[in-house]
Amino acid sequence: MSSLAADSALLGARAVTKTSRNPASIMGAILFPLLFFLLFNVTMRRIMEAQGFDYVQLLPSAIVVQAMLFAAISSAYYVADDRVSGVLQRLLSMPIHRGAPMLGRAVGDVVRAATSLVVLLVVGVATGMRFDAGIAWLPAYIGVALLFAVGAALAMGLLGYVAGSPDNAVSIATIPYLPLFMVSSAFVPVEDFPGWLQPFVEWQPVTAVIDALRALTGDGDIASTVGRSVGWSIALLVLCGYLGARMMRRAA
Amino acid sequence: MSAAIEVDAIVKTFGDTQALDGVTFNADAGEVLGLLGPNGAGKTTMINVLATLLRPDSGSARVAGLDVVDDAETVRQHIALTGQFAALDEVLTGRENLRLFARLRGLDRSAARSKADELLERFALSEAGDRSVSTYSGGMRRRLDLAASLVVSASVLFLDEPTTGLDPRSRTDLWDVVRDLRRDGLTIVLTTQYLEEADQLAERIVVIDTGEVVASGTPDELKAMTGGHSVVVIPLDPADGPALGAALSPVGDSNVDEGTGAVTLLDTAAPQLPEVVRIVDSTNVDISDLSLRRPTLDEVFMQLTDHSAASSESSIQTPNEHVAERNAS
Repeated sequence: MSSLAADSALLGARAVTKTSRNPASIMGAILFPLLFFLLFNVTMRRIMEAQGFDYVQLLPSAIVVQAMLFAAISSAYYVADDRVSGVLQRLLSMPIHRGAPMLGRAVGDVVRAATSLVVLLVVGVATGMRFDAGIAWLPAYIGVALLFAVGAALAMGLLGYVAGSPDNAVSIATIPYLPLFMVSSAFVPVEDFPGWLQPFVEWQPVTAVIDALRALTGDGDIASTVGRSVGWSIALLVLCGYLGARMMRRAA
Repeated sequence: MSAAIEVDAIVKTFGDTQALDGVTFNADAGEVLGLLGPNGAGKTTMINVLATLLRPDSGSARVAGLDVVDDAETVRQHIALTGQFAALDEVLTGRENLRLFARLRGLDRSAARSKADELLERFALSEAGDRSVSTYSGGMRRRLDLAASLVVSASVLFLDEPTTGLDPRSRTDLWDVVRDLRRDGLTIVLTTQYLEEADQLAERIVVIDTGEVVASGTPDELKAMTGGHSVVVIPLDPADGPALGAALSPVGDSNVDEGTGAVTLLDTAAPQLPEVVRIVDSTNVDISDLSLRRPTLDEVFMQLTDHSAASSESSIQTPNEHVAERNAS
């Protein structure tokens, strides 16, 4: 009776509708990444270029990953909202596929992440970013970014599930976001972190994704960086997908 | 009548809390069964077990003849749940909510559309149908919530405290809706902390306290457990209470309330009223009230659940206290 695809599509459409009607979500998906992009350009670009970095080329991929993490944090908000409002409970008392609430949520997350991605690619290219490894890598660039967005969103969604309220969910989800993003290769090269911190910076998932995106725009080895990035994203998907499915089976 | 719900020795523990401790009851097809109990009694836990949202630790429960654990998926096709809080999407409009839930229950696009229109009409929400639910009043939310439970015809409807937090007008409106549904032949399991609500709606009541069934029966059967009518005489000056009680003792066993001086004559009904009045008159005590009282479920409830807040006039709970039970479950 229950179809995972049909039920997820319905809940995915709902997630997109909700996001599109929430001014905070639209700001978070479009305005914030744009502001970060512009402000970093204004404040840091000359210093970084003086240090010999190709900032125009390096910055957009960092902000793309930041936007993917924003999408994941908003997923925590919506998961908490569904749980606290009782909507999740209602869904689970209905004869729908147990995986549909999570998958529908993921559809909404991908649409939101893709919106940020398009906006950032447009302004990135407009300000001088180039796909030096070949424009053929653009689909891979999009794939690597969105795959990470879904993996991170499932992880943040678990936090949202146990957070108790949507506001708590955002706060709790911000806790892993801050160190993972700031202590990554986003703004500072791995070698410039303190020695004891470098292993973390080098191996953590956010660095992996940023390095992969930069490699796909011509700065780094594609095979190894994309491999590590996709590995992290799939690990997140499998682990958090499994934990989420277990929670759904035990339910409400 | 076949049993629509059979609950047999259900046990459910959360950590150190024994939420359900061997609960057993049945509900016949087509009847309204009231689950009555104070906060934390286990009512919501019981509903969640029946609605396949919680697995019991032991015992068995069947809904429409199907086991809630082994046949959970099939059970879900037969039930509709309206939880303690209106489980609606605040951002979507009323119409969009109904369409979403209708489509998830398997209706195609056009069937879902007409079902939504029909339910909005039936629950007097047509005009508000295209507004986001966040603009709805408490009563409107509850009606929409109930409508969302009825997008397909379920055979068993669970209503978990459907009127908690509603104003009196919205409450009686919702009662009318429940009576309508009863006429449609649905089996309804209703939890409530409002004794009047159980009295108004339920054909049979199961009283639960601290996870156990402490009594069950029709409202009249339960009321009979308190021993019938009583007469209450309240002196103007509380100090006159003991003397008044002593004077009235030939009529029936009397209790005197120390605070108000109110004298309650147990097992005293209308035929004895003239005698009561004569005695009161002869004592020359000024009285502020004299009334004949039917037994209320409140008294049954107090007696059964052994609560310390003794006066039957005082309400058992405040509407906000239910949050505690929800958090516990």
